Amino acid sequence: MENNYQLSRIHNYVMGLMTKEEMYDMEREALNDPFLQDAIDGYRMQNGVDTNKLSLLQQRLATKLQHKEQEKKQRFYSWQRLTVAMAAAVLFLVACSLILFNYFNLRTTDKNTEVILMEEHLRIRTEVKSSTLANPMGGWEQFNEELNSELRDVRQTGIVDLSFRIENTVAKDIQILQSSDKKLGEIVSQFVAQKVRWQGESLHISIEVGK
Amino acid sequence: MDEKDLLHYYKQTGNLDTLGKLYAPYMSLMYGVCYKYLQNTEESQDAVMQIFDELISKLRIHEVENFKSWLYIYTRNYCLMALRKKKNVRNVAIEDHLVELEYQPQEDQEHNWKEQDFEKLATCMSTLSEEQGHCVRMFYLEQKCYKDIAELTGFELAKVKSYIQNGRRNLKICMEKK
Repeated sequence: MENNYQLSRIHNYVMGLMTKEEMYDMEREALNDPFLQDAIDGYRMQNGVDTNKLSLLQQRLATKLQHKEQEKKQRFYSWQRLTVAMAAAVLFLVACSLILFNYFNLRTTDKNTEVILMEEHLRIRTEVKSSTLANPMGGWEQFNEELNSELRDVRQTGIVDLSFRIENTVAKDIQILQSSDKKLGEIVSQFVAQKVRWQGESLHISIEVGK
Repeated sequence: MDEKDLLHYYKQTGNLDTLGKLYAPYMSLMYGVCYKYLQNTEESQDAVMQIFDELISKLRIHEVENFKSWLYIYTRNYCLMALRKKKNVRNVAIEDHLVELEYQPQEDQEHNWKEQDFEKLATCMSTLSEEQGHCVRMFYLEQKCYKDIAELTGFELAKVKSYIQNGRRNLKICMEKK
């Protein structure tokens, strides 16, 4: 409303339809408001205000607003779709790479165990000299294999004779009866005492460590 | 919501209806301004619509204190740029446009006048050119409208306007000097 009032004032001023006092008021207002002054100048050049054209302009604005709002909505939806698609793609990639990663990891560990077993060749031969129903809980074959791995980094060879008593599946009072190498004797007796569980009462064994 | 709230709300939300509400009341003034520079109905209408398009993004970035004066400067610059693009060089007296470049929102200048201010004003009045002084006196003291002043002095109406605008500006500068 205020806008229309101002417009009709501009029109009246430009067309000379105002009293001197009204013109003076308008001029003072325009001196403090260059926006108004410029608009007055423009309308004077156009010979007055054409309200039809101005209401057309308002209509154009209304149409534009409607149009832009629709455009914005469309853009929003396609943007939303794109985001969902992107998220799905990222999830898919992550899942795939996890599966692949797991697969390769498992394969490499499997291989490692195989390699260690293949590398070994049995250097150990154990002979039971005398026994009172005694043997290692896992059997002699396993005993030999485990001792074999234990001696993987030991280069010495020779024969170690041991006798010991079994108490609660553990070897006690181990005596090295004969050892061609002192260090080898120590390693073997330590192995017998700490890493093997036994059954029976007492045992005398002779272990031959080959090349 | 007043204009400031609307501006703030638009900046935060980008709601186009809000921008429309802000913009619509100024369209007819803007059209007048554009017509002054472009002197073509179609071009002026298009300019008003295109400025709206530009404001959609501009007003989401810039902090605007006084929308009316900001919009005025924006409109003017838009039209001047459009003119420059057309290479349509027109001669406009620079005097006529200086005042408007210094546009500042009018603050209440109801400060108390002291005696030396009146003396200063008298001195400053004497520094104005004869025409400026004459027109300023008739406008501000005798409260005559431009048309009357033009008739009484024999100056053209546009001249009267620019004498008053420039005289007023010179007086202001002179009064602010210490």
